[in-house]
Amino acid sequence: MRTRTVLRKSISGTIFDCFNATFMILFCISILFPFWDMIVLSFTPSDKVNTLSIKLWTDTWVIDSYKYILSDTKILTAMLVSIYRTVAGTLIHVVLVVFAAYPLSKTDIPYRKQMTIFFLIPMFFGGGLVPSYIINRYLGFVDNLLVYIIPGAFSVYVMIIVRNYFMTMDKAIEESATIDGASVLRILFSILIPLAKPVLATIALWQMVGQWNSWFDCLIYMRSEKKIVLQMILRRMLDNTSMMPEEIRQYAETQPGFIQFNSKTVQAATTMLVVLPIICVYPFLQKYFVKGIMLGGVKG
Amino acid sequence: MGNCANNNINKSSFFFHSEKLRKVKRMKYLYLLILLPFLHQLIFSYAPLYGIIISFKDFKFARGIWGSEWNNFQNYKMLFEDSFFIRAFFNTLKLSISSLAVSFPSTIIFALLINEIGKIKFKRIVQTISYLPHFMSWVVIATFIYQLLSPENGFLNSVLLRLGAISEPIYFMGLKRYFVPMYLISGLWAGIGWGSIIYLSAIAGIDISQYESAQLDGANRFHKAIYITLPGIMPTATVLLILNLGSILSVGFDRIFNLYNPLTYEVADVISTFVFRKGLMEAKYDYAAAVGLFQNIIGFTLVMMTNYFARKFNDYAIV
Repeated sequence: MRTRTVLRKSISGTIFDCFNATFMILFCISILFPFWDMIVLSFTPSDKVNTLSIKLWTDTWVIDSYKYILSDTKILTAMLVSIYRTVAGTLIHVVLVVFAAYPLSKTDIPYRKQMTIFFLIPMFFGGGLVPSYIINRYLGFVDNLLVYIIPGAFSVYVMIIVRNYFMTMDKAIEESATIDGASVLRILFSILIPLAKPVLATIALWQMVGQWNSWFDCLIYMRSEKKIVLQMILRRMLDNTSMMPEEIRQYAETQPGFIQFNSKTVQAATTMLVVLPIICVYPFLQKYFVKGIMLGGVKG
Repeated sequence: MGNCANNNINKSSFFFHSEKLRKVKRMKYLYLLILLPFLHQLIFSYAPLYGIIISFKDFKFARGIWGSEWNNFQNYKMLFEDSFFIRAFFNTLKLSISSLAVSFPSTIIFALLINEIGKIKFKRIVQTISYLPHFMSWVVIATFIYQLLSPENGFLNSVLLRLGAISEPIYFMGLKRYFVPMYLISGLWAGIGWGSIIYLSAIAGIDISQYESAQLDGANRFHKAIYITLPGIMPTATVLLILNLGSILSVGFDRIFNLYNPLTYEVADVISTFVFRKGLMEAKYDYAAAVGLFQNIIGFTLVMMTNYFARKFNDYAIV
């Protein structure tokens, strides 16, 4: 007997739906509000900034702050550095990951187990910040643009994701290619990689976001002003505002690298500059980002 | 054919041996490919492990690792007597545990609520918006927070003043008592959307017929959520809990570093920021390395322990 489940709209169900919808709308507003606050701030004229009124809008929209930051060579250089590390870092990362994932995906390759274990062990133990710093120093990475892309050029976690993906791909294609006389390298480049585009796109996006957002290596390794990233500029502005007492701020003004016009509007405009690429890219590629979690199984 | 048996054995081992060799030969380019990541791992993941011996020495940079004298567990002894380290240790625990206690139920409840949304388009939009903070660096998020809580022109102070709740703006970020609430709320803001993804995908994997038969038995939506959906995501939740408990000592450096300042060190300084200041700013490399190793070992032990207990009681484990 086929039972038809009739979804009767109960009153309590509808009330719940109303509350839920309201809650979700409020939630979305709370997520978006800080962004909006910052956007409005970035367009506010500087003399109107320091007032404690509830600002959801500004009467006069000016682009002074943007004009300032886009004409500041320090900020422009930092933007170029950020772009460099995002592009180069992602490329190297994807290449290295694929170079390890493909061989390890072959279940019949000799010494597979040993090689896999070799890659897995560091996931549980790490030397920590200090030994890594010392190693990088020995390698000459201090104040070197390479420090942005080489130490982080490989990630075991990502490699495993790609490896698993390769393993789930249909063997038949590989087999027929082998029969046709293609070498393993040829198979990799001409066949597997095009087929693995979804997962490669996902990990590339992950890496790009990670690189764009990185600033810590800049903090500890960079000494020259020309090599700092955009996030670092933002970080400095934060440093300046977070130390409230006037004396500390005056002291900070004497430090090298102090952002001259650290007024709030400039900080807001710079924040927007940092956030904009991600926001632009995000809605369209959101599904790739999310897929990354599924591919990896459980990720905290 | 007296020693035929010997011959056969020799022949078979030779056969297998060359089979393997032949495979290696055929796949030699694969080994070449993997050489590059292999080297990277060696240099950047294994070599630092070697650097751990720094923590057992009185490390002087000029003398290098070998030139510096051993001081055995001196650094570790210092650790337990350093009141700032002890403070950082307990701050780490406090922040970690409270963070977990808040976010764990919240993400689950949020996932359940999202799951109840009927209109797919609305659901999609809410989810997309909720993930957005996850992609911001903590520098950006901290900038948002400092701005919203600013005593000069921040939103929160403006609202409170307008409502008459306070007569003077409060410098939230400089006061110790506001740090933990601020830390937890910002953690929720940044993580609740993203954290719910796992649970939503787990929910998607629950057998639909369970819902149908519950419907027949007269269950309403609430019943279904509590008695079917919730138990359905328990395995996932358990695994996540294990993962999080294992990393309880590694409160993220990024987040704390951008949110703390000398005024709030007392409650905000955690092990990772402590290591940073001691190791890189004060250049006490050996001491900081000791702290790092300490953190690592405890973390590892915790993961193994929680994994063991989970397996014992639940059959759900990672390792």
